[in-house]
Amino acid sequence: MHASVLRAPSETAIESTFPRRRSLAVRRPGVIVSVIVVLAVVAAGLFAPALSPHDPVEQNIIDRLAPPAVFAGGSWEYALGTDHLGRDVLSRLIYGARIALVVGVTTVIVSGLFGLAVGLVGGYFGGWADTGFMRLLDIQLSMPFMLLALTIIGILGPSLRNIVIVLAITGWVVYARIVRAEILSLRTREFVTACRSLGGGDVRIIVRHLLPNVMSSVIVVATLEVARMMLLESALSFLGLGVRPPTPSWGAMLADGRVYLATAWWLATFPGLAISLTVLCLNVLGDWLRDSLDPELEV
Amino acid sequence: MRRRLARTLVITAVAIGLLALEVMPVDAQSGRLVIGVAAGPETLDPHMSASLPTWNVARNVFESLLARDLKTFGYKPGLAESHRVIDDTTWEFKLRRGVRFHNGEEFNAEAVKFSIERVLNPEQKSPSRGQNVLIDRVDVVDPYTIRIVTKKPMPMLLERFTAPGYTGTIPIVPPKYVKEKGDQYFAANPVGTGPFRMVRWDKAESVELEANPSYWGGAPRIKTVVLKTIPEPATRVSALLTGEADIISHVPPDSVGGIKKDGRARISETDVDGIPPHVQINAMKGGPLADVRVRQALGLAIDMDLVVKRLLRGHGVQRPLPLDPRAFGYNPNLPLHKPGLDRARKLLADAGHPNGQGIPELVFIFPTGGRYLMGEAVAEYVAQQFSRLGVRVKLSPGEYGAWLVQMRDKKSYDLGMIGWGGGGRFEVGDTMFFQLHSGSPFSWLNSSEFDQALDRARETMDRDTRKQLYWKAQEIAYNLAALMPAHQTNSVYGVRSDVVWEAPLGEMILLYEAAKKQ
Amino acid sequence: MQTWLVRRIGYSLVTLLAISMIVFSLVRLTGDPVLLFLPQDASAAEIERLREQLGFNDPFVVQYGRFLRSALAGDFGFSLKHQEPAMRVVLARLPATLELATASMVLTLALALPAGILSALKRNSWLDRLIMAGVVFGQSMPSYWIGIMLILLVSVQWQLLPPFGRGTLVHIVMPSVTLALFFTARIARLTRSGLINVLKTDYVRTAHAKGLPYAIVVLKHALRNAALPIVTIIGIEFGTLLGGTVITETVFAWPGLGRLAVDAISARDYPVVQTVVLLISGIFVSINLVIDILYRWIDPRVELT
Repeated sequence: MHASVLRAPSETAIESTFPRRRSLAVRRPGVIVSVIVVLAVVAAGLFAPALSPHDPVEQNIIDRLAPPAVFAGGSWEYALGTDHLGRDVLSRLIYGARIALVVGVTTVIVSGLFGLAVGLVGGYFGGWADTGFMRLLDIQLSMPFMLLALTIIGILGPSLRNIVIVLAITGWVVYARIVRAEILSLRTREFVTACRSLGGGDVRIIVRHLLPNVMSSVIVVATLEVARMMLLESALSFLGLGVRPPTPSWGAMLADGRVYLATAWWLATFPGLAISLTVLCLNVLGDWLRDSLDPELEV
Repeated sequence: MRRRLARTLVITAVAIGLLALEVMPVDAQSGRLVIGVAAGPETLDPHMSASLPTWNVARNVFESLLARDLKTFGYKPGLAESHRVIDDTTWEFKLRRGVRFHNGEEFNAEAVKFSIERVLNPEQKSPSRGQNVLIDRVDVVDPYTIRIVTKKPMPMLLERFTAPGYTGTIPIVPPKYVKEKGDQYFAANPVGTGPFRMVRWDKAESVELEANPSYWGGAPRIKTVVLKTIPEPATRVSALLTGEADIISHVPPDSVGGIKKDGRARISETDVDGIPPHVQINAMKGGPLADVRVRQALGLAIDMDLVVKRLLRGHGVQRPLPLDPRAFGYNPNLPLHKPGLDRARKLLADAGHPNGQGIPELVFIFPTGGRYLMGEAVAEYVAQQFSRLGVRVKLSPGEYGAWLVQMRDKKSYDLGMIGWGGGGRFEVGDTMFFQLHSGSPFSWLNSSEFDQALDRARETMDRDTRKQLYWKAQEIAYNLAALMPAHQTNSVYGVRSDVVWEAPLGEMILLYEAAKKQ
Repeated sequence: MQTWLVRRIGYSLVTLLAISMIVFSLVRLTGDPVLLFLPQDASAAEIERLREQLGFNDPFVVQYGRFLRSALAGDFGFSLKHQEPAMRVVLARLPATLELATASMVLTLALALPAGILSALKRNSWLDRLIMAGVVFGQSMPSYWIGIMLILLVSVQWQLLPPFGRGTLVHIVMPSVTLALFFTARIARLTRSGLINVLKTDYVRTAHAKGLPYAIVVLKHALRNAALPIVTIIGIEFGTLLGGTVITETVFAWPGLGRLAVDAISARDYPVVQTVVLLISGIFVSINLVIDILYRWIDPRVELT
């Protein structure tokens, strides 16, 4: 198996006996800001129709390439300017949040559930199921992700549904590895053997005792994965293999705006900021969750 | 520790030195021109391609019997010094002596006969064959005289032998070389009689040409030319501004202002000759689109004037049909389309599709990469306008090469953006055959009325009668509404200030006259 | 050791085989590559004839077997777009990607290792926080955005570096910086956490207590022990780097494998797509094999189940 699944020998010396759960004390201002930002993005995604001033796909060729409100030639009607087809950038940004959210959350749920299941079953029961899954994992890890994604999308055709499929297929691996490693170390513990000797069945042990212990790691990973999935989706959309036009995705908006960097800088800047900021805050959140819940976790 | 520090310093110094060296201007090397083009050729065999990238190389490497005078649109002698018409179906050409192909092989009547027969050979599967089927045979009278005999009168025969060529013309290729090396080798190592010869083809990256010092018309002024494939418009523009490219093609209209403001380059622009990019409605597929009223309704939803003025920023012209007004036989009496959503809705309702009911989602394919100016934007605009009528559109962008293939499968789409710009279609009969005659693989119209009208015109030797017949054919095409109201995009090039070159006509990149200021 | 080695190598081969099967089936699921072979006005009968001739109508297993046999002989298919054997096309582009990956790796290490070490040594100080903040930033920005911004500023505005293409030493600067940013973050973190853990161990504290200067302790003892996992990670990241150059190559028009693959997918040039994926996977599997062997050789106690 891969050395990558191991931890360094020196670390096993200090491995904690039981994942300590520190209280979720909020001490850093950065975390608070991140939470706010993430909540704002979620809100934008959920309430997009109510929040956005215009229809994101409505073209208005006469007003194309209008600058944002505070600049010469701009107006508050199109607060962040319009794109090359006269569509309101702000509205597209808001709806873009929806896409980012859908992709991020759906992918994480699908891949997370699958990865969790695989990790639990494999880690607890071992045997051929475990070996089988780990082989699959290895094989998948040996294939270059981006190329794999491109190929699959090249075959299936670009669309939101296909992106979610592709990202989910490639994303389950992270969860499986982490969960399995934790289960492996947990299943030999006294409380498990005690439970079994008391007559507890495997399912009961898994669900009531192991799962809760694993959840903290899963949550950390999930948070970070949402960020990573968003980045990947935007990269695919940037390459033209993401959502179809005219659906607004931050990555696709960036790709469109590329030609206009010198002439209409707002087209690329705002989506770029949106992606970076959201991913940044998710990363900060994930890091903080890790520090609070499971500091030894290696992602 | 000190030794390590010293080493680091030395390495840093060397790195800085190298950096400084590279930042010096690249074109201290005179006589070399780099042209950034939007797409690369898939073959360099001029008999086997219908794509602009191939023809742009072919136009500088190959020649034909006649040459086009780009100012008057008339014919000039090329590889044939003179020609005459013997009767309605026989043409005689007297060939130029002392001309050699780039590999030294001699140019003579055999070469002409071989080239024509190669194109006509059904086994060769040349895309230029369809336009030449009226040619019956080639008789070699003597090594420098040939006669071409046609099955029926073919008034446009001279067009087929005029350089700079395009799909449907017959450039002259060296018979011994082609027979010896085979088609596949020839496709990568073309040899012709033109002012430039092949140096190297780095597939999908660049084509390098160099001047032919023994060209019969005198050697060109520039020594080396590299046609570099830069599919992304933004990257092309950067290349121009930083000097990585001396000339770029297909400048996006929105970048024109930026280039003009920048002192390092300028814009050279002409309107596209031939068949500019336009949207064709697939009338062959059956279903609602076969109803002319539906097609007319769709056409009424498009405001081409707006597209040209705003999306193309004026780098285009509106036309009733995608034809060149300078071409022989152009009908000037057809009116421009006036958009009207209400009229469109009424027409749709009359045709039995009120508010778009009963019309399935239309698949719209078009190529990406700026090959057609603002192509993607126009496609999105069209989709949006149709949705106002209740007609849904599925946009299906594709890479140039793949899209070219997809176009062939007529069952798989309903709307397509296509243009055959570049290559001087100087007689409307050619153009219309390509676009609308049911015998053309690229046509989406199947109207016997139109076919007959066009066939009759193309077989009439008398110019005035032919013109009248052409007008009639255009009227029929206009009323059949198989082509969306057309806009003619210009050919916009960016040229660095130290380069002497103007866009000659349409999308042709002709390099004979190009030079670099010292 | 012997049996383990044999088993391990066998394992790699099986992995490669499985990958080839997956890639092959993925690519076969697409539509019709036959249309590309024929000129514009081929009839339906001709298309069908060619399909039969090229064996596209045979059952899947037969096709796969055929593919495997030719692959073992070195023939990975013919690229229609480039009019050359697919493997040749791919190998021609391999150096460019290797170059980019190596340059990025060098840059990454040059930045990440000192950053990680410093952070670990000055744990929880303002320097540590600053470095870690920078690291999180680097991980959060889309690489293509960084690339585009770099081109806009450095090439077009300041005219310092060429905006794209490959040629001289300078051409590689911006692409490798763009690519390196993301990986720097990861390696810096791992270095930091690895080193912190090592610093906590008893023998380091003992060495320090013995009066050895802190720096020497760090360099000689701690790093040496933390080195192994770091080297592992570096090897794996290099593989990831190789497969992840797609975006950067697109933005900078770098003629490498990533861009080749993207173009090939768009152009439906499937032999090339297959070959690129197989090649990179092969490299990756080999790297993992080497790492595992090294690991096992250095520390046979480690149980690799």
